[in-house]
Amino acid sequence: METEYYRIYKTVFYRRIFFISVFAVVCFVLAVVDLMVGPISAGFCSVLINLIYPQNETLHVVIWDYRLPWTLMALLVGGALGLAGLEMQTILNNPLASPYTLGISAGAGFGAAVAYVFGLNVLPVPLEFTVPVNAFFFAFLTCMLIMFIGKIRGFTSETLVLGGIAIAFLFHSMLALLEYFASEETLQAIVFWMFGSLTKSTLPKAQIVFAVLAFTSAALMSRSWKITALRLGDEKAKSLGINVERMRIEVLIYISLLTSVAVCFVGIIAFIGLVAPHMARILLGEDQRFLIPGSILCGAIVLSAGAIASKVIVPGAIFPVGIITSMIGVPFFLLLVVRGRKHIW
Amino acid sequence: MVTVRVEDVSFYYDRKKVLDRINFTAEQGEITAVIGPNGAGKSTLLKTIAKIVQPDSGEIFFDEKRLSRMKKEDVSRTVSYLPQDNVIPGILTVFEVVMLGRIPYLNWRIGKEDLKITVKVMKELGIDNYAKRYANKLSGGERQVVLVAQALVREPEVLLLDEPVSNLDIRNKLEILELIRKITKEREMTTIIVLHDLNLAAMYADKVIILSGGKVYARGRPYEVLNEDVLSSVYGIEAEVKRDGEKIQVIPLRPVKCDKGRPF
Ligand SMILES: Nc1ncnc2c1ncn2[C@@H]1O[C@H](COP(=O)(O)OP(=O)(O)OP(=O)(O)O)[C@@H](O)[C@H]1O
Ligand SMILES: [Mg+2]
Repeated sequence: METEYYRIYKTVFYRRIFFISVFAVVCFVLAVVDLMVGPISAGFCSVLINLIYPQNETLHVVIWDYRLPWTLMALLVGGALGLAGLEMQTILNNPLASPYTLGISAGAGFGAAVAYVFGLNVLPVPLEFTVPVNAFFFAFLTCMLIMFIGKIRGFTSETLVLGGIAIAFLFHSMLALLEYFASEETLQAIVFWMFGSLTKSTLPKAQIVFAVLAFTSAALMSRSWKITALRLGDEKAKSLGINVERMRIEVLIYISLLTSVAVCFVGIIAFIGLVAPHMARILLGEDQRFLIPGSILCGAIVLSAGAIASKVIVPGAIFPVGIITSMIGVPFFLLLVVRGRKHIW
Repeated sequence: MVTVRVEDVSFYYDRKKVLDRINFTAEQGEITAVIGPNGAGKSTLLKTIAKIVQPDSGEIFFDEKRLSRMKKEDVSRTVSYLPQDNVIPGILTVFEVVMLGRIPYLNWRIGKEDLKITVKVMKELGIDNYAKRYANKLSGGERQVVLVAQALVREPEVLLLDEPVSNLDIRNKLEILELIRKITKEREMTTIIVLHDLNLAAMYADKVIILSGGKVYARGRPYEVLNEDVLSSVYGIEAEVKRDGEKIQVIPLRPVKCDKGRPF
C-alpha cells in the first residue's frame, strides 16, 4: 500500500514536470518567433542557424545586434515579473498582489522622472544608464521604506499593504508634480517610459537581469518548502517552526531586487506580475518547487507573446509592449479562470 | 524523551496579564489535559511551550534544556503544535498539507521516509482515501483531522494540541483521542491537550490542569480535581459528578447566577 501512495505522488510529480516542460518549449518557440518577425523577416530554421553561425551575414547581424537583446529582455523581464508577482502574492497572502502592489512602480516612475526632468543622477554612470539607475534607486528606496514600516509595526500582510499603498500615493503625487513642471518633450519621455517598452534593451542589460533572476530564483528555490508553508496562514506556519516575519523580510528583499531591476530597464509593464503566477498556480498547484519555475516561464511566455504582437499588429511601427501585454493576456487568462476546473486561490 | 516543566511563567498581551505565574510538569508517556473557561489562557499557554510567544518571566524546561535558549529549528524538531483555528487556505491537497508537517526534515526532493510516515499517519487517522482532495474543500471536521495528521507526522517528542477534536462527531472524537493516547504511550511522548469536554478529559487524560483567569486553579488526576465545588467556582455551573472508583462522569445541570458577570 505504501508503494501505491508513492505512485500517486510520482504521477503528480511527473505531471507537474510535464507542464513545466511544456512551458519551457512554448517559451523557446516564442523566442524564436520573436527573432523571426521584423522588417527583415526570416524563417524558423534560418533564425536558428544564423543565431549560431553567420550563414547570412545581414541576418546574423540583425539578429545579434537588434533582435536578440529585445527577445532576451522580454523573456527575462517577463520571468522576473512573474516570479516577483508570485512571491508578492504569497507573502501578502493576497491574490490581487503584484510586483507593483507596494508602490515599487510608483517609486521607479518617480526616479525615472527625476532623471528626465533634472538630468539628475544618483550615481556616476554612463548616460545610457542614467534613467535605469535612478529608477532602480527609487524603486529600492520604496521597498526600504516599506521595510521600515514593517520593522516598527510588525511584518503582517496588512501592514505591508497599507504602508505600500500610502507610499505609492506619495510617489504618484510627486511624479505628477514633476510632470506638471516638465517641458513637453520631457513629459513625453516620461509618459513613454511609464508605458513600458523593450526598445532600449541591450545585451549588457539583459545580462544584469539574468544575473538577478538566477540569483533570486536559486535563493527562493532553496526555501521552497518554507514559502509553501506560508500559504497555510501565519499561525500554522509558525507552528511548523517557521520564522514567518524573517521569511517575509527575506522574500521581500528578493522581490524588491527583481522588480526594481525589471522596471528600471523596461519601464512599467503591468499585468504580467499579476497574471503569470495565477496561470502557473492553476496548472501546478501551490508547491513552490514547481510554482517558482512555472511562474518564471509563464511570465516569460506572456511578455514574449506581447513583444511579438507589438511588432506585428501595425507593421513597421512598434507599440510599447506594456500596452499590448494586457490586451493579449487578458482573454487568455479569463479563459483559464472560466474554463479551469480547479479553483484559483 | 522529554519532560516539560513550566516554571513561574507569566505572559502579557500588551498590558493585559494572560498567564500569571504558571507552574506544572507534564510527564513523558502521559496526556496532560488543560481545561478552563474561554479566555482563561489555555491557547496562550500552549503557544509559550511551542515558543510561538515568549513568556515575559519564568522559564520552560525540556528536561534540563531551557526553551528560551533553544533555537527555533530545534524546537520545531522536538515539538508539534496544533493551533486552535483550523482553516487551511491555499490550493493544497490533503497529502501536501500533511506532508508539510515534516518541514524540518523535508529536502528539496522528498525522501522515502517522509512519504512513508505521511502515508502511515494518514492511514491511522483514516484520511488516506482523500489524499488527493483539496484541503480547503473539506468539511470542518475533516480539516481538523487533516491538521491532527500534520501534527503527528513530525513524530514529535512533545505534542501540543489545542482543541483537536472540537469539530468532530462523537465517534471521531473517541477514535482520535484513543489514537493519541496509544501513540503517547507507545512513543513515550509528552502530550498536552486543551479540551473543553470535561468527560473526555476525564476519560483520556492522565493529569488535568485547570486554568482560570490565567492562573492554575487546580491540578492532579482527573478524579482528584474534578468535583462540584471546582466546577462551580471555575465555570460557574451547577454540576453533578458521578464517581465509580477512579472513573468519573460530569453531568452539567445549569449555570449558576454569579454577579461577577462572565470571567472574560
Ligand atoms: N493576540 C492577542 N492580543 C491580545 N490579547 C489576546 C490575544 N490573544 C488572546 N488574547 C487574550 O488573552 C486571553 C487568553 O486567550 P487564550 O486564547 O489563551 O484563551 P483560551 O483559554 O484559549 O480561550 P478559548 O477557550 O476561548 O480558546 C484572552 O482574554 C484573550 O482576550
Ligand atoms: Mg484557545
